[in-house]
Amino acid sequence: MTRALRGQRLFWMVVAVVMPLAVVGSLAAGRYQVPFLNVLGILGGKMVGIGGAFPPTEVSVVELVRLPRVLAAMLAGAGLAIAGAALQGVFRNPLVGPQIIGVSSGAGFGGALAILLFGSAWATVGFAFVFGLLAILIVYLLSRMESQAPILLLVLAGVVTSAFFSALISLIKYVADPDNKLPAIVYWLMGSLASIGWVDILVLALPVTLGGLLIWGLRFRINVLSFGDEDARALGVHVERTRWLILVAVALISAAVVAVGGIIGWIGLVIPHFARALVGPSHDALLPASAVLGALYLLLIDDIARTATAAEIPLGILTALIGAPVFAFLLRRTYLTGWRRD
Amino acid sequence: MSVMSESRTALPCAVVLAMAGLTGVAGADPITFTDQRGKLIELDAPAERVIVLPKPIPSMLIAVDGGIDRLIGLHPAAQAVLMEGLPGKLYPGIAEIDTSIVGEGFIPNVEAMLVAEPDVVIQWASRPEDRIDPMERVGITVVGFGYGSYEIEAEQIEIMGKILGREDRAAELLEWHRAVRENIDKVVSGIPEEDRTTMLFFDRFDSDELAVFGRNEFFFQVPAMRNLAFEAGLDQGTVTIDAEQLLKWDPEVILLNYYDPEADPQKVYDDPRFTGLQAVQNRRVYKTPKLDPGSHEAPLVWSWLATLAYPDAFDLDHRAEIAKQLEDMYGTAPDDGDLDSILQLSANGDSHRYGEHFGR
Repeated sequence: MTRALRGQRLFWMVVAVVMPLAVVGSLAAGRYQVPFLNVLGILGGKMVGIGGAFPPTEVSVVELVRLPRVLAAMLAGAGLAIAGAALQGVFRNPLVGPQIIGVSSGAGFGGALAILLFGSAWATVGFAFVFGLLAILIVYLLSRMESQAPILLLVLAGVVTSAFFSALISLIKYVADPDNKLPAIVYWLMGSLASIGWVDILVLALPVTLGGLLIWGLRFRINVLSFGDEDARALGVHVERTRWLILVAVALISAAVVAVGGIIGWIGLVIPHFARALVGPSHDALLPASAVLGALYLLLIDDIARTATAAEIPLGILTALIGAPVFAFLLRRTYLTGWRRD
Repeated sequence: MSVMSESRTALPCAVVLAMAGLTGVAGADPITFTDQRGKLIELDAPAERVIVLPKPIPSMLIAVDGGIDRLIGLHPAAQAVLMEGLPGKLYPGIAEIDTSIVGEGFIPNVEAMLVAEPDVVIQWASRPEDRIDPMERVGITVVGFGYGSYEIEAEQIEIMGKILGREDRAAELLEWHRAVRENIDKVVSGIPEEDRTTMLFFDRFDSDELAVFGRNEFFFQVPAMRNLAFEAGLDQGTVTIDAEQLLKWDPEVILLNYYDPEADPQKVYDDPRFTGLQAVQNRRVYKTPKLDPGSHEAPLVWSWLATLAYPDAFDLDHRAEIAKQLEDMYGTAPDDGDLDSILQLSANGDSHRYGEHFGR
């Protein structure tokens, strides 16, 4: 057995133990005191279909407040991490994430605009999607030269698009009514899963699953693409088409996450590095590993956000506060050991 | 009334006015007071042209002055709020008042100010380098207003009386504040701390966000209500919490700020997450009345809250009192439809003992 394979096996063994613990632990943690055994009882009762005799408030805390929130955190974390891993692979660049290529800002602008104009949750979701995809389209048009898109130009087009939509977000904040709309917009943009309900789970699950499966289906082509465009072409891969399929999948996932939870940064950037260090660079191992690590990471962060103080802490702040220093550390290490080997 | 009698009364009036004018010119006593950033302000005479930038203050000016004639500029958001409420109905002219004099973040538009030629501009005292200094540099008299406590708000009424030369009316308002407070205090001061009604005041309560008032506002203290968010250590204006935290606190009364157009007690009653709350089971969720709890109108809100907190201890005629006070402030009494709207009767009608205390 190769060393990489042994590492992967160990990784999945650890995940198999840690994951269920993290989920149950998260369901048992919260500001409202629900005895641990009751949490298990309520969940068990739900699964087996026996209505246990638990206090109704405890049941609604577990079923209507915590369960959707735990699921949302895991879905969003997994989605963002897969998206980040795929982007880093196709762009052969460790500094790329959904935020860099402009999707997050585009979706953020769409959502903020919807809050300003309509104030309905459905409009927010719809607008976030539409503008997330629009951002990708703009990046595509900006970066196409002579029927292909050089990687550097693509990343720069992403930066430009992102800056443009950020400016539009500022404009919306500027014109929004400071007593009513502005706090809602600011709060939503900072990212939070505090008000997740079962409907939100649906909105999140469909695109994330779809995008995730698309990326998973392209995993071997991403491997080939990460050797470089010339080699990939020589091996018969449609470089352009694959890259754009990946971008659309990433847009789908990011827009869904932004629509439901606001802008949650850093996960798509940081988690794939962790995963790469643990299971190696091949995407058939890296993508699932990124997904579970992303899910675990955002679950943990969201647990902190909802339990640390009586007030909610915005997710965007926590992911950046923890993500930035960890990333800086990783950057130094991986630069010395990993990416420079190219 | 005959033509003769009109001219007979007109003559002495003219004499009195002329004399008043003379003493005004002689102007022995300029008006002096210290504003709320600690600066000594001197006016030669009561101001005739006043611009008010802080949003809650224009209605205070109207209440002290009994009209809008001297209000020549205000914040566009304040104009919108006034136009939606009773003052806008009584004084449609508010829609015509200049709003070009202020921009985002209460930054004054100095050139528009100079065109408007105000005698006095009332402005927030915080961040003076951006908000006040540009006006003072061009010679405009600025009165700084603070915020954050009842004492500050009460002093603003007093200052407003001085600016307008209506100290009598300001004193009358403050005396009414004192009397209402005293009457509520007589009832609630004997209630021991642990028996006081617990509550949470939500600034936003919708599918996206639950945000509570963390500060222990004066208008909670007068009716002896315990703000559980404040007791838990929060101290900011509005703080976002999650549903579990609300379930944990489980207040006796839930209040929804009328500023939030989506706020509706029925939504709280219908939310499956909150069926276990005692405020939901006892139907004690209320949308607050369209009255400003932090200004001259505050006593009306104190009485409203005291009645909700201790429905057996108070039996006040709220509608009559609100009608009388608003008539004194704005010149015309609100009709029954206005009162229903001010008291949120359609939103609160199904809540515990609401119709009994506040209905027609």
